[in-house]
Amino acid sequence: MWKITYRIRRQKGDEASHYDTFQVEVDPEEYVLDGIEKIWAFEDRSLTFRHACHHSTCGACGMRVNGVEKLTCITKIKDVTQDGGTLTVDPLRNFPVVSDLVVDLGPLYRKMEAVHAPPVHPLSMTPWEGEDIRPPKEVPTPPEGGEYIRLPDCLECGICISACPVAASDPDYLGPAPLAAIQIQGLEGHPELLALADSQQGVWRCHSAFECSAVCPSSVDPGWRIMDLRRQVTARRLKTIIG
Amino acid sequence: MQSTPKSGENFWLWFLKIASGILILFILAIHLTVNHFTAPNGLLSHREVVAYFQNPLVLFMEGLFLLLLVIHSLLGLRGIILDLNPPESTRRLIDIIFLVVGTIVSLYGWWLLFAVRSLTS
Repeated sequence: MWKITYRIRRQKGDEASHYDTFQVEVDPEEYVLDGIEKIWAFEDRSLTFRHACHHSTCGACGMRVNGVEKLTCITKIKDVTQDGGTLTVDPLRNFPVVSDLVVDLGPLYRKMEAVHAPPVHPLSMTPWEGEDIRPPKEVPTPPEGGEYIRLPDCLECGICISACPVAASDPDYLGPAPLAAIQIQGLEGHPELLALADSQQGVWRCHSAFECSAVCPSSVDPGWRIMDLRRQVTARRLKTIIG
Repeated sequence: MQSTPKSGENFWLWFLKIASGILILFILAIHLTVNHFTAPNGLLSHREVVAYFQNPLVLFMEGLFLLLLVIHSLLGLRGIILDLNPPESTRRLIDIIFLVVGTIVSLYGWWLLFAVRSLTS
């Protein structure tokens, strides 16, 4: 077992934020979220944080661990600190803090709605990823003309928005996850999204820092998708003058 | 979020910035070659500069070079200002100021080009 120090950012209501420290005994194979739950269970029941599935499906437990955005349910303690070390845990950036490590992800959800992010989509919509996740043989083939349906990779965890330097300066900027959702749908089939993608909130505000791709826990690779969306916008705009 | 997309940035402005950047590199290569790499002692003399500007093609190229530099730099500066997330009215005011400054600088530069060219006449 390791003895580590959790340094957790605390903030209730309008009060100024501060850090509380907790000494925790953990198995290094445990996850950062497990340690936070131990603190809540045995040290401080007023500590608030979001969590649900514990296997990187719900996207609820996004936080900053030692300054880097992580999905804490899949971040092993041994990968981010050492025996006797310190883990500094902060809420996600670029979202209003509700309490301690809980942020209001409402702005992200509203943007995902504005770009009509699909809750499920056909396998063919993400052809590269689709190759690796073909259903096993025992799953019945869809009826003729039909397609297998899958959940999108994006968990809507907000981690990409927190890491994005442009989202930090402009709250109206759509941000990596919503722009990736436009790219996945494609402007060819969804021309109504062109005006939003090709606007001050859209693809041209991206500084190509690729921080979103570096921290995305779900292989969405939003940075690459924004670059591809630029290519789609460019093609459509040039087509208007070339014909 | 607001329902109408903000119009402060779009494909054409991005395209202008990228295209001007590429053209600047091309003309810069010609400019450096003529004015420095192939010039005696690495610099044209006053008389050689005046003679060089007698060529209408050179006059057009140097005038275009100036215009592209003004466009590229002002669009770059505008991009940095947009990062500061100014209010829409301030952004419009900045657009007007940059348009006026860019026009004045370009006109002054072109006047200088013709002034240098006319030194022999």
